[in-house]
Amino acid sequence: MTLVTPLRADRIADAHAAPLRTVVAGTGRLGLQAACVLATHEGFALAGLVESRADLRGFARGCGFDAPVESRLARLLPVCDAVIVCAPPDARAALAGEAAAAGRAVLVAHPVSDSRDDARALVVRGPGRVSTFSPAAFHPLYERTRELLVSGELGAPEQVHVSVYASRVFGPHARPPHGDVLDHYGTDALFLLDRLFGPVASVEASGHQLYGEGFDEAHARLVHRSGFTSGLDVSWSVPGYPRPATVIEVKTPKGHLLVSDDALEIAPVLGPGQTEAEGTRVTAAELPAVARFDTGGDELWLALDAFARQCRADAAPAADGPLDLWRSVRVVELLADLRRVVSPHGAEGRRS
Amino acid sequence: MTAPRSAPRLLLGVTSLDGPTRATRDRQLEVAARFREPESLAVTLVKALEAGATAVWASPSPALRAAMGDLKRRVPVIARLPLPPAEEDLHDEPFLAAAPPAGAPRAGTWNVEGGALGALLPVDLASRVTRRIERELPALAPAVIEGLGVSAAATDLALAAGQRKFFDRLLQFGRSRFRGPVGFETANLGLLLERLAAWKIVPDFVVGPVNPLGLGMKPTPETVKSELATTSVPVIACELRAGGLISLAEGAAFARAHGVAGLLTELVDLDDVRDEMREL
Repeated sequence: MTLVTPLRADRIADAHAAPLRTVVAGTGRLGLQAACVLATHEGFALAGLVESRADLRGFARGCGFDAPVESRLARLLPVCDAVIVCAPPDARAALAGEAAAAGRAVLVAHPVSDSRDDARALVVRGPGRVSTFSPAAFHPLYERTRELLVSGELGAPEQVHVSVYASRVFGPHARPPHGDVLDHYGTDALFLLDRLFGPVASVEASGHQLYGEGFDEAHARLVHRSGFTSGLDVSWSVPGYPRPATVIEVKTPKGHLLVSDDALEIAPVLGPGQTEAEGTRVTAAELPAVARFDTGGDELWLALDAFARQCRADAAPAADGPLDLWRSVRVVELLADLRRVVSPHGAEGRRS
Repeated sequence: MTAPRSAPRLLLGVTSLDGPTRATRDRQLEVAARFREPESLAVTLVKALEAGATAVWASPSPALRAAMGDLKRRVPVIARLPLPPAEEDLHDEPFLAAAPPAGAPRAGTWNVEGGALGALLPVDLASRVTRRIERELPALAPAVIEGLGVSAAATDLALAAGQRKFFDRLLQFGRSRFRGPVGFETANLGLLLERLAAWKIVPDFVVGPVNPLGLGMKPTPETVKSELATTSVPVIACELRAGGLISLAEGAAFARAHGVAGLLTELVDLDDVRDEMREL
C-alpha cells in the first residue's frame, strides 16, 4: 500500500491570477496567523484587518501589516473580494453573515458559532458563499488517512477510536478564562471525525469536572449515519502532553490503522497461516511539503490555499468537501447535544 | 549600530525538553524522561561544551534552571526569547499582545500589556518584544547570557508583516544589551534571507531548518538553497535530522555543503552528546 502520494499540481492556488483582496475579521492569535499567510501567499492581497477590541486593534496596528485595521467590517467590505472570519466563536456568525450579505466570499473558522441557532441561520443567510475550516482537517497525515479510507483499500471501518490528550489544567493559572475541554479540543476532534467518517446520528457521553467549572474530560460513543460506532476520549488533564496529541485508531477488515500528527501506520490483518506481515508507516516529514509559509504548522496555509482555489474557480464549497459549512454546523449541534446528555459525574447520557 | 559579532559555530539546543519539535512525540517523551533529573542535564551541558559546543540555545524552563543551579562552571547561553507559553492554544489573544505584570507568575496570566490605557495605544512590535525579553530574562538565571536569538514566534510575525524596523531595532537592542551575538530564529528561512538582503540588514546569525529532505525549508527547499548560496547573513542550521529520518552526520554534511556558518543540534537529535557533538 502506498502511503506517500506525489504532490498534485492543483494543490497550489494559481499564482498568476490577480490576488484575492481579503480581509481578516478578528485579530486574535488565529487571525494574525491568517494575516501572516495572506501577506505572504501570492494568491492573496491582505486588504485589511477588523477587530472590535481596542487592545487587540492596537496590537494589530503595532505589528505593521501594510493594511488598514478597522473596528467595523462594513468599512472594509467595499475594498475586498473575500473575508476570513477568525473572531471568537460568539462573534463569527454575525461577521460571516454580514460579509455574505454583501456578496463576499467568506471563510469562517470552526466552530462557526457557539450557538446552534446562529450556526443554522448562517447557512440560510449565506448559501453557497460561506465556507468553514478546521486546521486539523488539513493536516497532511489526517488527509492521507481520509484518502485511504475513501479509496476502499482497507475496507469499511469497523471500529474507530479517537483520543485527544493535552496537559493544560495543572497549576493555579493554567485554566483559560473561557471554555472547557470540549470547547478547546472536543470541537476540533468532532470536526475531524465528521470529515473522516461522516455525520453522527446519535451520541452517548459522560464527562468529569476535576478542576473547577466545565469539563476536564469527556468520553463519547458516537453512532455514525453509516452505521458504525466510534469512540472519543478527550482530556486536558493528562500529564506528558505539552503538545496536544490527537490519535485515531481504525479497525478495518484488512488491517489496523493508527494515525496521529506524528505518523500514519497500517498493520495488515494476518492471512491464514501467516505469522508475520509487514506493516507500513509514514511520518509527516515524508509527505510532500506544499505550504509555503509556516505559522507553527502547515495546516492553516493549506486551508487558506484551498479557499483561494475555490474562489478562483468561483465555486461554492463542495458538499462534504474540506470547506463544507454544514460540517461545522453539524458539529456545533452535536456538541450542544453532547453537553445536554453528558453528566458531570461520569454517568452516561444518550441522544438520538 | 554596534559592530557585528561572530556567529556561534555549534550550539546545543535544550528547547526540545519542553517545547514543540519535529521529532516524534515518543522520542520527545523519551528524551524528557532522560533529563528529568537536573543532574543529568547539567552533566550533558558540560559534556557538550567539552565536545566543542560554543554555547547552549535555551529558553527559560524549570529543568534548565535546576541544571544550571547544580553547575559550578560557567555555561554560556544564547537566550531564545520571547517564549510562547505552552497553553497559548487556549487563548484568543496572541501571546505577544499580553504580558504578565512584573513579578507575577508567568503561566496563565494574560493581562493586556500596559494596563487599560496602555492597551489602547498602538505600541510597535519591536517595543513589545524587547520589553517581553527583558521580563523573561531573569527566568534564565543563573545562566550566563552571552547572546540573543529572537524566537520564531516574534520573528515570523514581523517577517510576514514586512517590518524592516523590527529587525533593526531588535539588533540594536540585543547588541547593546548582550556582549555576544544577536540573531533571529525563523521557520521561514528562505523568505527571511530574501528580505534581509533587500533591507540590507545583517544580523549576527539566523537560525532556520536546513536538511537533505527539505523538511521545514520554507517556502521551498530550492529557494532556501538558492538564498544560502548568496546570503551574507551567517546561517545556523537546525532540524538537521529532519524529524529523526536521517543521521546527524548526514544532516550536518548537507548543511555545511550549502554554506551554513553553524549548526544547532537539539537534545532530541542526540544519543551520545559527547561523541556526536565532537564529530560535528
